[in-house]
Order: sequence, then C-alpha cells, then structure tokens
Amino acid sequence: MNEILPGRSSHPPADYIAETKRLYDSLGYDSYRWAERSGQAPWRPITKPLADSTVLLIGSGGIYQHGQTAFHTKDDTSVRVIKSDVDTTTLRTAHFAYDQADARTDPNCVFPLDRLAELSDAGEIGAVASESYAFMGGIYSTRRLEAETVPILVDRCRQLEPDLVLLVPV
Amino acid sequence: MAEPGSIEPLDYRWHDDEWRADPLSWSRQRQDSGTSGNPSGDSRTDRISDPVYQNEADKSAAEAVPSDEQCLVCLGIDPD
Repeated sequence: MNEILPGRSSHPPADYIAETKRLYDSLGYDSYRWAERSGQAPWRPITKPLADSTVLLIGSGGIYQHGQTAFHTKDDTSVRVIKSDVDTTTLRTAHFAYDQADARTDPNCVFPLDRLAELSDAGEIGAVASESYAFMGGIYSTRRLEAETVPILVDRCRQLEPDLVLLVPV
Repeated sequence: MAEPGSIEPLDYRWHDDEWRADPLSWSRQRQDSGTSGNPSGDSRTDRISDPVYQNEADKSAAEAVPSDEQCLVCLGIDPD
C-alpha cells in the first residue's frame, strides 16, 4: 500500500516533459510535440483564507457516474457534471491512457471528492462547490479541447463562482 | 509562491520515493522486454468512438435514460 509520509522527497519533482522527450528519443520515435503557449499564464494569487474558500473540483480522469453515458476514448470533449454530495461508490472511469485498476477501487485516486469533503468537515477549506466536473484527458486535439471542453468548464465555473478550482490531471 | 511557473514541493513524500529518480522507467522496461501491449490486469483500452463502460450494468443504466435527459448531465454530447 502506498503511504504518504511526512518530510520532503530526496528527489526533485519529476520533469515529465524532459522525461517524455528522452523516452521518445530512446524508442526512435519523432520528438513528442507538447502544446506550447507563448505567453505566461495569468497569475491569480489566493485572496481568501482556505478555511473561508469554496473549492470546486475538476478532474480529467474520465470519471462518470452510474447512469451517465461513459466517455468514449477518441477525443471525447464532453463533460460530466457530478454532484459533490454523490455517493462516490457510484463513480466509474473510462479512459485509454492510464491503468484504471486503482481508480476503479477508489475513485478518489483521480477525483478526490471524499477527501475534499473531509477537509471541509475539518474546517481546512470553507466548502466544496455543489458541482464537480469530469472530462476525459488525452484529447489529442488542443484546438478541440480549447473550443469545446474549456468553454463548458469556464461557463459552469462562472455560474457557481467558487473561490478556488482544484484541477486534478490524470 | 508569488509568481507563476514555480513549484513548491509539499512536506510529504511517498513511502517508496525511488520511482522519482527515473519516472518513466516502467515504459522503457516494457518496450525492452517486448511486452508492448498492456500488462496483465491493466485496464487501458484502445481509442474508439463508442462509450467505454466500466461494466455492463452501467451501459444498461445509461441507455435506459432518454437522450434528452442525458444531456442534462452529459454536457457536450450530441444526442444524435
């Protein structure tokens, strides 16, 4: 079982961009083409204490709820709305790019709603937003991601007006 | 943290943190061993245009819901 211990790792954070380039080179593939942005991301420093903040969860692990249509695995740009008080035993995964065994045992691996609820109960965060959003990462078209998925997420977030959004990439 | 682009390591670590020394070694090992397919028990699937349900009960439950109601919870899906 993977346990989390106090104290920093002796290793630096994994540089997956450099590692992926190295992997592709070693396999004789063409260089991996990461999407790049010329400008800097807008900086939005936290202005409220966490204990007073409403946190909204967005995850790219392909989570859907029993009764919802599952994601397909070929550039599915749709979004699933998950009520944040959902029984997480009804959450499922559909994804092509990671081994879902652990996530199917405990969806919190990729969509930590129960953990956020615990943080809320403990007063560490103010509240969990009433809705959470899930989509399937591994969308190969950056253009479609920006044109189809992102506007849905931005629109829903603007309606709920959370103080913070927790993005969980998978 | 006061500017974009910086990383602030948290004061926690996995009990076995050695994977960080070579985080993609598992992929190279799989290639080197000739097991390019999914290892036993690995649930990764091909990229296909049909919904990939975790189980048949999910598929039945979803298909029992009219498509116009589906779109209340499945944003971005074309009901046709």
